[in-house]
Amino acid sequence: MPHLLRPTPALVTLAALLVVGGASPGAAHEEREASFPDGSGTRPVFLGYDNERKRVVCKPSSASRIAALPDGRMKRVSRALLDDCRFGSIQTAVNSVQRRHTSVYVLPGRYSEREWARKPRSEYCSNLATESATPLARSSYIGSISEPGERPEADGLEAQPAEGAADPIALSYADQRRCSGNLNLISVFGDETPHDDSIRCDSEFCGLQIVGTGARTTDVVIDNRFQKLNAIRADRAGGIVIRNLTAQQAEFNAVYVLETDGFLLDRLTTRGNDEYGILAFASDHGLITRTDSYYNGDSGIYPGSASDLNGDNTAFEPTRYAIEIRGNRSHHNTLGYSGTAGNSVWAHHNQFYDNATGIATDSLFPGHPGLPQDHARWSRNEIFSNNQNYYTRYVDEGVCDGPMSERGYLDGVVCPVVPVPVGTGVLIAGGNYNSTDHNWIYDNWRTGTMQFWVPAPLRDEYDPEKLYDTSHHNHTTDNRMGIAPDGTIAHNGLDHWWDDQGEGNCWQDNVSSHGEPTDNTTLPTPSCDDGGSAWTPGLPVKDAGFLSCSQYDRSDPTLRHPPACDWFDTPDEPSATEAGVAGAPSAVRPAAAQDDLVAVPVVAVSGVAILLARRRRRAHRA
Amino acid sequence: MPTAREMPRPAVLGLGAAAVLAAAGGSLLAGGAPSLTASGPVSVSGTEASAVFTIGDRTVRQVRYDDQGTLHLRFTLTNHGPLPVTVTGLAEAPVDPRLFDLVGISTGELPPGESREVTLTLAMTGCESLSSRSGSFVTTIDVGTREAGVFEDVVSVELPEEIHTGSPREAFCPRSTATSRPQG
Repeated sequence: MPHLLRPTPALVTLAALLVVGGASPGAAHEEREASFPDGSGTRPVFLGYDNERKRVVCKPSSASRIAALPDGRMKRVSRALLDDCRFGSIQTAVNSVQRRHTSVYVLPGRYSEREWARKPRSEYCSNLATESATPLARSSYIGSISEPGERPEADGLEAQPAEGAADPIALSYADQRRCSGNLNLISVFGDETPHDDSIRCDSEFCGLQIVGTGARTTDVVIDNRFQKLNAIRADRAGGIVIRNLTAQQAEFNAVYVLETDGFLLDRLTTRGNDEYGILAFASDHGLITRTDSYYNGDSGIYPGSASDLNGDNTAFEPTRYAIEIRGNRSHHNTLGYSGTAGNSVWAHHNQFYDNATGIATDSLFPGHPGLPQDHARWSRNEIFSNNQNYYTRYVDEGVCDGPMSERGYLDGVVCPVVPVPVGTGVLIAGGNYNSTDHNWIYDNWRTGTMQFWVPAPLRDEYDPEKLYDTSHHNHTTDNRMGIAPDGTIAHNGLDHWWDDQGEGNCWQDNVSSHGEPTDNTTLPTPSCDDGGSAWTPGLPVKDAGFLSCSQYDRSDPTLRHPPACDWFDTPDEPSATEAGVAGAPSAVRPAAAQDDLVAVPVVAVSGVAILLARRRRRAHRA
Repeated sequence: MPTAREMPRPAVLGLGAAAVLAAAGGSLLAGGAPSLTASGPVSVSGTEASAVFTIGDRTVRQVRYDDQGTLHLRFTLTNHGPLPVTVTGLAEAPVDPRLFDLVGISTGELPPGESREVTLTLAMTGCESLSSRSGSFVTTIDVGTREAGVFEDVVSVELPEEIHTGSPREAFCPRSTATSRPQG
């Protein structure tokens, strides 16, 4: 990472610290420790519907479903493929693959993979906690090795282990591959040499394509029904393509890409999952495009811990991006996009709307390789109306207390698993070198953009020299705040919220529905041309609320609303009359938003106190 | 000076009554409950790592979670009241901090206006039942007290540093299973 150290012992209240013994256990979401691919892969391309290397999967209903398709290419393609159908199960078809770059064509139908979902586990796979030949070292994973026979009280999770069996969910790659049905409905494991040091894809599954042949993504539905933790898992599956289908009802992920160098997720619908629609973790050379993700309790799209290509890059411009996300829609989730350690990701021309928060990237949670987060770019996205309060609507009402399959996830119920500030467009919680540019960010009732420092100890980094190593060199430029692409005015509660922390942060050439962008900053927002913000040692930062809100636990009646956390209070809708319209500048930002957001007034250093609490027009510093 | 055992019984009773009245008066003067505050410096043992930072007006000590470990937090407790206060232990916390069990606090008497170092003992436990992206705070403790040897009370004491442990992902959570933890 760039050298962001600002050692100011007299001002920094770092008091006592110890760093003992080894690296932080690296894992995310109850997973083995992940590592980045070597970057030698390439992004795959769709091989079309006439790949000679193919398997065709269908259901008894496929013929009638094909007949019902609208006339056109996909109807012709599906009809032609129907005669070649030899498989009733996608996993069975995958398992039959013998050569790389094979296409598994999935004809219209509903696939619950009953055969695999109900397949009894082997003795070995039922007793991984005690019998694993490749157990994870205690130091290299988190959670999940249980004692034989121990059956703690469940919390809605329905991927139950065999009766009396221990059921770890953080497995070594070798065990994941050997016991692929423990946690996954459909899985592709590309590394057939799990005991060597390489995580490269080296098997017949490299370049596999799983492709629906319907006219719409919903013509082919992979319905996990919460039978397994993940609906589709692509693990070290370099070159994987998943295209033109729907995956739904997984406790963890509808589509899960892990340690994979080269992947394409194209035209997918991922919905009704307790956590993620699409999760790509520790992967490189990826493209996520034309997907539609909704009703997910965490995020629709999560490019977390993407390959950390720019971790040592101290320039604002990245060397390259690991994952590109373009042309997607992600809506009605807790988060439209989320990326703890979402490094080197470029998301553009997407729509993130009607979530609780539109986009978030962070360095808040430990165990993600590549922290602190850096070098993401969000450009030319529409980020709007992210005001859904699923906390009060479903968590408070007890809807989320029932079994997952009965909560109504496919009917729009969302049970947030993480705390986010309702009403926020873009949230950078401890990131560096990020660019938020040329977006339309409007109708987010709390704030359009929000950026704050995250202390390193929160990610289990106790090195005192790294205490202030987040929230530097983030650029917010050329956005249209409170203005839709068609020119319609829909104010944000506040355009920009910043805790005044960090150096090199800048806001420039943003156009606002208020005339000049509104913000909460102590000094005028620094421009990029002037080098951005100067780090001000000792300036007490504003309390963004994340500490209090971090206690959120949806299953705990008290901690559903942690004391002093106001993130789950729906902000008032900005009044159309209280502020100006585009071209008619208004000096005053919405008072309610200001009060809500600035939990602790800033005490500035000497010489800037006069600037406190000023409500003023910002000089446009383009 | 004669001890109570050496004094005539009526005199002892009279002194006792006077003491009770004085205590009552003192207690009233003190607003009905002892006035105790906690202050630093704070020291911590029982965790591999900890660090202190401030955000806004909050001072937070982050500690690395160590399942089933015992955390000892030492700080100074001061009795601002006019009467001696005996710390008798911890009262039940109004909010369960989930990743901490409040085990106890060193007991003993605090003369009026005086301070002494006390040790708060917390057990780190419960990661298997908490969302792995949640954290837990202990900001205040409720301390059982006896004032002037007579009046029992529960006093809420704000810790000099908020104690926070983050996601149990930081550390091994040995009793966690596929069914034990909420998602997140």
